[in-house]
Amino acid sequence: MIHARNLTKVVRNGSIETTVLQNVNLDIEESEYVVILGPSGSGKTSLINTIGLIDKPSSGEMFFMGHEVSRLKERQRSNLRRGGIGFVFQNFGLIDELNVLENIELPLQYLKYSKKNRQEQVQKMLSKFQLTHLKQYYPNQLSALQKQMVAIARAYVINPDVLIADEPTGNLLSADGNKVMDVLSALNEEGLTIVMATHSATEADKGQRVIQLYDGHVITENIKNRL
Amino acid sequence: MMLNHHIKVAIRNIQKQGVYALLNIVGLSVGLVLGLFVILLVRHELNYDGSFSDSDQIYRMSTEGVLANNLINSATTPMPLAHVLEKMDGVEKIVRFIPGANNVVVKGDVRYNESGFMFGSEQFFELFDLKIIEGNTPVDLSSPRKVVITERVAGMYFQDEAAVGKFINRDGVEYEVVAVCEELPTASHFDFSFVASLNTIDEILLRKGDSAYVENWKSDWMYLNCYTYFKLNKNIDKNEFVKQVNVEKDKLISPQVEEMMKLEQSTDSIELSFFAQSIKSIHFASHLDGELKANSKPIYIQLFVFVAMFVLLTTCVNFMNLTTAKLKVKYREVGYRQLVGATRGQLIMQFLVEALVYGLGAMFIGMVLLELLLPYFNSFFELNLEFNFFRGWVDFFGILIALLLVGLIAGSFPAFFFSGRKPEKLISGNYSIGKAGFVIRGLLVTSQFAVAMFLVVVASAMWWQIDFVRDSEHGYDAQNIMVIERGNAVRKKLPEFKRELLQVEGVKYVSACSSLPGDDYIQGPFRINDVDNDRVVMLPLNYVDEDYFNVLNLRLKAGRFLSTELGDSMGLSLNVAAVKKLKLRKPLEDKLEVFGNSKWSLNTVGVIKDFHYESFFSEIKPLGLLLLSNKMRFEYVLVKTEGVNPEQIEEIKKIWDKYSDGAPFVHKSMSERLNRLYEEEVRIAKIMSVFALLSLFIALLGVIALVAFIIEYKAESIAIKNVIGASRQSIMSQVFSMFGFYVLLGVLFASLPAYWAIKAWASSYAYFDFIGFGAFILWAIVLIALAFVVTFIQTFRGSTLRLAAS
Repeated sequence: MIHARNLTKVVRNGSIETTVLQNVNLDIEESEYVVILGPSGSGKTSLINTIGLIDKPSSGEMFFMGHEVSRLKERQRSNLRRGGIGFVFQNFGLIDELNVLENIELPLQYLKYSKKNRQEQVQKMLSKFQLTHLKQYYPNQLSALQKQMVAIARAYVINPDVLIADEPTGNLLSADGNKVMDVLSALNEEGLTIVMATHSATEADKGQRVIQLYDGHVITENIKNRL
Repeated sequence: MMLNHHIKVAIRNIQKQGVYALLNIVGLSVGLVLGLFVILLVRHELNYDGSFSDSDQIYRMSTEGVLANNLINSATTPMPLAHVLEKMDGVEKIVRFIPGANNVVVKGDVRYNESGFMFGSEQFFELFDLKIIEGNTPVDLSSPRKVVITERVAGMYFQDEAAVGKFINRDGVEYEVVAVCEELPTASHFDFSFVASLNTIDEILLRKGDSAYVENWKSDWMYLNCYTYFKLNKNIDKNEFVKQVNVEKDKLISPQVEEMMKLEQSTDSIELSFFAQSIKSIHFASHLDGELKANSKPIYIQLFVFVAMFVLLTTCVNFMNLTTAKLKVKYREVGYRQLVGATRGQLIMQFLVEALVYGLGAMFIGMVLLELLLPYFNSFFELNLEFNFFRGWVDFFGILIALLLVGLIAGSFPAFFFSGRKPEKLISGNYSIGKAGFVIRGLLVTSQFAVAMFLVVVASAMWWQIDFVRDSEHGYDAQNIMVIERGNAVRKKLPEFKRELLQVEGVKYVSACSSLPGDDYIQGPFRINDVDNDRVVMLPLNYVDEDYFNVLNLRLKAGRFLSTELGDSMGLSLNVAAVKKLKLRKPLEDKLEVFGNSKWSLNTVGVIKDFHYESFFSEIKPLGLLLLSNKMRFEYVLVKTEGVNPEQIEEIKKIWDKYSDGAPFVHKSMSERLNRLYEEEVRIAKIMSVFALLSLFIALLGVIALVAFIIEYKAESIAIKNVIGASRQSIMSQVFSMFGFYVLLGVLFASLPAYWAIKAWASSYAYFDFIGFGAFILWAIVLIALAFVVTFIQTFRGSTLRLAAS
């Protein structure tokens, strides 16, 4: 589903160049739950942004659903992202001006779903993630856990090919973090491909496969719990 | 629908933005009110005389040429021109009219001093098709002593009674009211309250002379004594038509000219030709002698349009600045939207819709403000603008289009600025905008300050010039002179009246005269035959009594003032300009013949120093002062006092009432009359000042936006500096240094265009006092200081918040 060959990412800041990813190779198959593990500054977010087609590599090849995407322009990558990838962020990424229902509905609107379709899908998500009672609430009225649940529902509502989560528990209490991890596991069990970045080894245990990054290099790749 | 979503988000954004949204809406409202006001103003100016059914086909004939060595450029024509027009193909209607002098109109016990009395020919109300409220149509002005009055006049004289069939009296003539018409729109180049039948003039003139005199007055091509209008068939080429009129006119005028030249043995040429002006162009572009109202100048329209455009642009710039001030929040939001599937088009649409929602809010507030303020605007600027948003489709769609444009312009920058960013930058918080971003923002502030600087300097220059023309030496003393209008009412007992006035405490001199500064002076042709050659010159004349010189405190250059005692009935005082124009080597010895009547010759008894008997718009022209005889009509009584107090005015009024045979006591000070010469300039200066203040307000809003942006952008560094003990002053200096240059640039950039605009405006004055570059520097300092103060306040507030947040 996602294949990377010799991915390298160099970030320029003025005259200073930093290689944040170096010769990364990986393969992510459908319905996998892959965890990218690494300490702060190891290149997790760079890798996840590249996998999620948010960013492109400086060199190397990258395939997403059979398309070579490493040389694509932002607009082309955006077209692949739309409907194909769901994102969950550490700081939730909810739109403050929209309530829970509207936040979940937003991707469907951008994808021009009919109103009836949107309503059906949003109701399903509200129910699935037990958010129905919060549907009129705005992000600033929600707890951190509730916010992240809404973010997951919003990512999932488009029925994506892959869900990418960047430190999804980073702003949560550990108990709440566990709940989020349980939800992600459940989604994976339903067949959703998940790629998650984390610095927590405990959370990494929830994934089927762990790719460990250090200074932009893949240092280990462990396969666990493969079904 | 995505549109619903965009609108919803925009409204919620506005609610969330709080003060910024308020500043944004207020800024937009102010800009839109100004823009709407200017649109109304320009439309008002450009739509003069557009209310008649045939406005597009109505023309005024005007005169140009040379008459007795004088260039003629006059809105008036000779009476016989109408006979030429009558014979021309394509002329569908012809109207002549003659404005009457200021006079008292009486109906029973009701009497008013009326300046709006005119004499019009039969087709007056067919050409100028005002609604007839009372009376038969078509209005019959074919016989003498008939009059049409306006609705306002009918109310004044007849209250609720029917006016038609009743009589009014003016100057001893009884007029039968045959109709009441609606008021002429104020956006007309002429005005009237009464239109009496033109042939009444024959009877009035017969009181002054015999029938030959009347006939001569009506047929003489040398008298420019009436206004001539006509309706031209659409299919006739105007230019070709005018050529033909001049050919036909020559056939009639040449014999008269030849005869006159032969009689006077003069070699001077007389050339008169006529040209047609569309009535819709008169107010906007015509500045001939004898205009019926003060017309506008194209420079004002250009200035207003320029101002409106730039105020609206600075308003849009302000919106851009304020919208993008909360950069961090917006960046993230846009990033997340991109990642949940928003296309660039959808994001652009979101920002444009947000700008339009802001614009709608601002437009609503702006329109309410305009409705509320328009009466005050009209009163303050002496205008009569109307705003018919819901009554006129043109206004409705015009404003909607303007709103759309403002929304698109204002929303375009945020839309393209944010939507073009890459999502990884947006969500990472790595939102460096680079040097170019700062430069663009800085230039936006530059443009706002450039407009503000331009307007404040131009407005200041206008006031400076107005003060100059009001306060500078006119060559006479205008202080403490009371001008009593329609002075002729006391003519029969003028000596007694003057004697009694002089008994009033504080009254120093009393005089009578036929014209005052601001009036159109009558002109007389004079012939000089000396060693140089034989020449004829037209000379503006004023009939005055001997005390005129004392009242105005005129200064002599040679000879003496006119005197009754010394038998100056055939005497003349000339100003220096007249001596130069007449090329008199020995002015006190040369004799001037009245051209056309060689039996009359005048002695120059004195030469007075030049004084501004017209406005500062024109050079001091030649002038002849003639002694007023006791049979001659005059317009004004001038009372020179040591000071003015209400008791004194009351006493003067009592004496007036005793001698004036019931004529109303209408008086003004000479200073007031002088000010009236410049009232159009004052009006424009007022408008420019208001624009200047509001554009300054908008520019300062721009500073607030930019400071907010800088504080937002530099939030972390400000917080850290606060924590490690930096003073707020140092933070403020840092913030100001980041954009102070752009304020300075705006101020400098505007200086040259402001100088050009002042020069262009000054070209209408013969005497102009440039405000000086010191004012430019002073305003530059003021503007920069204001920007600094706003920065100080905003930074103080912002850094406090940041400190709390950190």
